[in-house]
Amino acid sequence: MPGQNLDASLRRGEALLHEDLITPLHHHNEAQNRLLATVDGSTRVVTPEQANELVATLRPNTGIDDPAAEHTPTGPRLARRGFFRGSLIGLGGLLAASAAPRYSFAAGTGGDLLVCIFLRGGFDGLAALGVPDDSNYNNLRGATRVTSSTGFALNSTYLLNNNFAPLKSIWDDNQLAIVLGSGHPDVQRSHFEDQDLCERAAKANVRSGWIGRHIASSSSESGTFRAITIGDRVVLSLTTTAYQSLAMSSVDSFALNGSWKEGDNAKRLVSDLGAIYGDAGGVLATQAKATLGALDELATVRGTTYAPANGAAYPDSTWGSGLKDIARLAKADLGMEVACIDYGGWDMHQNLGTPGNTNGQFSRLASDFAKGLKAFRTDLGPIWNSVTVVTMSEFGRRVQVNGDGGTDHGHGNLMFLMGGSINGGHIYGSMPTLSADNLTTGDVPITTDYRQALSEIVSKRLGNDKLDQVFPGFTPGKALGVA
Amino acid sequence: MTAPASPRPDADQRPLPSRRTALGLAAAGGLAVSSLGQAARASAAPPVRPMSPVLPETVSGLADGLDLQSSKAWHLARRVCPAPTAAIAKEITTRGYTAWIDRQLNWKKISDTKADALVKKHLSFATMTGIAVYKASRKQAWIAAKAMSTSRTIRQVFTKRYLYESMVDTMADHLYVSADGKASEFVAWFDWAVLRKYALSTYSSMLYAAIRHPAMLIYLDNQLSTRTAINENLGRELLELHTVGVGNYTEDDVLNSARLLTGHGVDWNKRTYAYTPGNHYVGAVRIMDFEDPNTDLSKGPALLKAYLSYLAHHEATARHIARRLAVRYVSDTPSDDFVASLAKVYLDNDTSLAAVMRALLLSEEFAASVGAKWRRPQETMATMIKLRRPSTIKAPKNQQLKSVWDITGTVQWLLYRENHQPRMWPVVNGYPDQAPAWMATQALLGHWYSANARVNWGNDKQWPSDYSSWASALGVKKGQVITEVAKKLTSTITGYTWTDEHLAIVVQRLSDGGTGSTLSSGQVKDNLGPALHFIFASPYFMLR
Repeated sequence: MPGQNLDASLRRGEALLHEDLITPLHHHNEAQNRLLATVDGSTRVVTPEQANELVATLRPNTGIDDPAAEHTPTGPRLARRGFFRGSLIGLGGLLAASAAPRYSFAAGTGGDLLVCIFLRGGFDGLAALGVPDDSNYNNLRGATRVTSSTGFALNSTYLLNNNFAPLKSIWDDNQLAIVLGSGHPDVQRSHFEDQDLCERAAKANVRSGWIGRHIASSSSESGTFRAITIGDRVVLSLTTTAYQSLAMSSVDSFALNGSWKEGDNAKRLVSDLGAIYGDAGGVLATQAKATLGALDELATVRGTTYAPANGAAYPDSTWGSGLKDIARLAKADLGMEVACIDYGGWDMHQNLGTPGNTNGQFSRLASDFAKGLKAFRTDLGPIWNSVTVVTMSEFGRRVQVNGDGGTDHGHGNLMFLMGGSINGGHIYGSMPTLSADNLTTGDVPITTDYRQALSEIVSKRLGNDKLDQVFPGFTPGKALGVA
Repeated sequence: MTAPASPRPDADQRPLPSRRTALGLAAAGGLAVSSLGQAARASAAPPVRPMSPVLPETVSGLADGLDLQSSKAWHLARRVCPAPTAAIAKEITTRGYTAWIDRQLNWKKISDTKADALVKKHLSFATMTGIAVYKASRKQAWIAAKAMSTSRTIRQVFTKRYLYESMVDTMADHLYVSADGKASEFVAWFDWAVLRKYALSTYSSMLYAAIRHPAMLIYLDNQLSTRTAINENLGRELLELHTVGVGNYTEDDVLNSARLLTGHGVDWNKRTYAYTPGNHYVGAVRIMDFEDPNTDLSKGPALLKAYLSYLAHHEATARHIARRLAVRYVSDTPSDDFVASLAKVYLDNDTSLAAVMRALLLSEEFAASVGAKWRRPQETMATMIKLRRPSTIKAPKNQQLKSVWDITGTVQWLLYRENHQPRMWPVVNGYPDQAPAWMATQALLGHWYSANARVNWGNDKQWPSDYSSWASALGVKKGQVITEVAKKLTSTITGYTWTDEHLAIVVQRLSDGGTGSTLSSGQVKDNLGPALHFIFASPYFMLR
């Protein structure tokens, strides 16, 4: 039987709790995932629907009983892999199979600048979001919970931590959307592995990043500045052999470094390298020319001191400067289509702080984060209408605060989506009442695959309908409607 | 200065444009932006932006325009040494080409006390077993991974076992386990118990040790694989990456490979390999031409041994390993015939890696491949460090427990920027080894940045030297003839005899601000740095 197009999240389907009937075959190439069912003494490959039907017929009550999971700060250590009870909720959209309808979105005209923010360390969605009417939330989150006095209402159910208040105007203008219970269903609460997974957004034998694949599949344009990482090196999300991305820790530092003898913009070094590499011929000469050309182009941008527009006030932080540089590059008309930037420090196992205390760890980062984005929007002015900002994080954090006033690695999280053309002012996805029954070993379940939201963005805001190339092995479900 | 001294075979007969205009740069020096579309932007026409070439997957003839003059000894040194120097080239000449190769293959006979002592002193976790490091690190065994990564740079600089250490890193990319990630507690142990133990031994013995090591069993999830919940990761990668390679097996082979591997996992109490019969799949398995009824759970280990031996001796594995070594040591595009000849050596010598390397290094294809490889950052870094002549590593006691990256100073961060920290590639297939991956714009900029750092930032205190400056380390002194200094520096650092044109750039840099033919003390002080930076950034330094 040819490889079924099964999302690896089917591992969490009910049928898979019956190991004597159904054997999941994990392939690290998701497209090769298969289910084997032993029926009437013979083994054959079945679809998830067939598997579920078979189990429902033979075993009407699931009687799920997860083996005791020893919990550690980095997540539960499980005796068996992957069978989480709570994740059964809302799985309909995740149990994708070749038989399920494949939703496609009419590609938009595209052309938005994508700003992808990776919140490194495991962003604590429940420290941002308040659920005042859920007693579980209030009890488990304790002093870190967001209340109506420490948060502003997003709707009748949810609050946003007041330290994110600079985002309020964006929310009120319907340009900020939040997706609840989002993430990659395969994350294992491990920073390195899960960041890798979220950035590649494909199985292990796919070595490229999702944004790299977007860049490669959306056009064969090879402009030097199509995709830029603000940071010391290109993020994994942008990896692809089909296009060379650039990284710069700042616009001002994107220059050749050398002794003072090299002159302004190291022009003597540029000239001498141009000469010697020019003689090398072939690919090497072309490469060097492109490299020196990139430096030259940026030197021109750097030649004008940058003044944010419209009174935009960026916070005086690496984050603020990074966003300001993205705005600067966007306005410099370099053909930039994607800007990636990281914001780290969210791995707060201790001393999260309380929302009312602006000096708390989480409060400080939240405030910086929000101020930066508010300034970014202001600075961009009308360009904002063709900018889409997305956040992602490798996993969320546990609902219950730990003994050190912090939280440990969790699962489902929230994503922020922002932009002039985002269908904002709404909460998307879902999060159940945070009772023990509804949680996956104490964590918010993932009810929306983060690729769902990204697919809609890639298709409608970036105008790229080759979603099977951008997210191989992922079948989009019904549109959330974020874009 | 418009045409090179010697005619190039396929040069056309028109006078060549000057180098500067060839690259769109103004003949008068400085940057000309006209070719980069600035003028176009000033008008209403759409801007002409600089383009990034799409790099082909492999490149042959990296620098066809350069006339590379080098010696046989230097060519050998550049290819097999982590940090080749003129001293090593001289050693090769003195001992004799083949004799030197044989000595390097016989690595145990070469004493490497200095490198060993430094690793033992500062990075002892890199020398321990899993359980030992777990205890010694107070349950922070992941530090051992970083210790091992750090130890690679130290060994690359101080070792006398050049070929051996190079092979360790080559095989590390083949049987790859990332230092960052789920197997981080065990990768240091894997390094010495598998890679370092068998680097020039037989591949079959290395493979057997690797597949049964906790690091590999964890990294590729086999420790989670049981007969009722089979995880195919190792089963697949064993075929795809480690042995026969893509196209030589079917999906059924992968399934059976995974079934055969079930039960081989980790004892977390002892932190060592353990076979759990209860997890082992029972039933006939067939992978390519290997089959076994597999009815007896207790025979799981023997079955694994037989299977791995079959794979190690498979002709497709022979070609795969031969190609890996040919790409590392000969060229990005080795000929099929050459690979086949090395594969035959592999099989004729019971999978001996030493035998293959000997045949490779003595081959005509090797001799004809001068300048065919592009250096990777660890190699340029180790060489730049070594040329500054550090005498030792200086770090506070127990630094590996406090701040392991600091043990090599700024080096770690520079390697991080260049995406080549030892064993830190984030994907299962190990670091790429062909030029396009390492000469992208970001990579060129990264190397040029590192070159500036090594030359102009001042010496890392972690790498103290008996020589107080680059000048003294390189033997450059006031009163020396500038043109001679330029020749000496370029040839001893890169091993190539530069053309007059290119030497002239170095001469210009050394002379800057002066008029005499010999170096003044001011010129030594101010100009050696820029000259050196340029030499390190030049294609001659990058063409391995």
